[in-house]
Amino acid sequence: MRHSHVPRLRRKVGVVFQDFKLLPTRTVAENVAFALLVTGHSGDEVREETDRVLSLVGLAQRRDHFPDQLSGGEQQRTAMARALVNRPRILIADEPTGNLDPVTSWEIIKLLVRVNELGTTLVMATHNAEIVNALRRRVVHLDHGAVVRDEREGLYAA
Amino acid sequence: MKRLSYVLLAAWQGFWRNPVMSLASTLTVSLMLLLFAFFFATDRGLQAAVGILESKVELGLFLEDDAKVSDILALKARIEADPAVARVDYVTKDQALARLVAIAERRPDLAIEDVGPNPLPASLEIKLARAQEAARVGALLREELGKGVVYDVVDNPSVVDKLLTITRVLSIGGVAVLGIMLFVALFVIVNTIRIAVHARRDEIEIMKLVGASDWFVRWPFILEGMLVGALGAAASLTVLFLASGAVTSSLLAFLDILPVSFGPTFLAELAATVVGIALVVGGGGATWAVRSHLAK
Repeated sequence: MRHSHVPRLRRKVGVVFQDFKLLPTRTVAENVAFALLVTGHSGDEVREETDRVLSLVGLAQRRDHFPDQLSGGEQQRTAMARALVNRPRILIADEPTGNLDPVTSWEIIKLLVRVNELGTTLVMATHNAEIVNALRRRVVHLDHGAVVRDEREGLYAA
Repeated sequence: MKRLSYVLLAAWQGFWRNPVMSLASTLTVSLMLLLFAFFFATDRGLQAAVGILESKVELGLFLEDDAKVSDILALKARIEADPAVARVDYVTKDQALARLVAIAERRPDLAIEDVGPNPLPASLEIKLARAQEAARVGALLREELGKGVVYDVVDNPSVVDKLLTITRVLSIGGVAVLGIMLFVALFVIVNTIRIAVHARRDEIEIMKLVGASDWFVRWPFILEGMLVGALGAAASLTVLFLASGAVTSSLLAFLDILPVSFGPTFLAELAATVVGIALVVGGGGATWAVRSHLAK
């Protein structure tokens, strides 16, 4: 794979992290629009797409707030909006609930499930047994970098 | 269009995010450019002076009174055959005296009394096409001494020699000083941009994460470097134009005797070169600074 192809591929893959990685000097809407602007989109398209994902994650009312004015769950939803705004085929969530309390975690999981139902493949890495057991989705168990288990409707521990 | 305005805005913001560092590198660049302009102008002036002096380099042969005209003409033909020689004029005793009288008439401090038999020697005046070869031609001519035709050789190329030496020293010294300044300017720019990159490392991380192309990440910094260069060029050109009057008159006073002209396009050439160097140094330094960061 050529190095110059990497950016285009990255646009097809959205990523959400445990620590959100939002830009503190930009508002919610600006954080989301940033992903469009730096991939060469402009004008009306940016505003429309930003509005679309912000209502999808339920943050339309919070669009002009800065990240440190938001709760942890709202910050993670902003990060999700940013990951989704380029309409990726896959969304990778790396411990998306790692920094959140159980109630907020469930909000995020419900949102991820909804995104999945809307047609985006979701890959989530997590240590949260409760979530894995409740979802009963495909579970790939990694141990020291090797796949040790892959079940269609798996549980956290075998 | 939007892309361009984004990149330009980011470059402008980057410049003012750390104004002290940005202005310090701008100052360094403008100092380098001022030095460059100084050497550029001096070199041009000296070259013009050398050119003018070279065209004036002349060698003279004083001829024995009893030399045969046929021998003199044969010698003249031999000298003319030399490729470094442009022209040889034969001045007879009578012409020499007539010239002296003509000079004396224009100069009130000189008076020619009746000098009896003409004391002036006949001579061959040699104009050189290539002044650098004055020494060689002079040595050749000296071989004619004592053969019954030539009794003295007059060569005075020392002014040109000195000017050529000064030009050489100045160009070597200038190149060395400019090299050091270029290095310092590059070093400062690279560091300025590194700091700018560091200040925006989170932004860069997210840009790469969401799939911005490398050029989209790079351009704001390269433009910021070019902005530093352009502002440096503007500062140094402002100083140059403000000082050019004084510098020109002092240069002309120094090279008083010579009608040295830099030519009509000189200032435009100088300005274009200064701006060109500034942009290349600024953009190049920034590219260098960003390159190492993006490789990660």
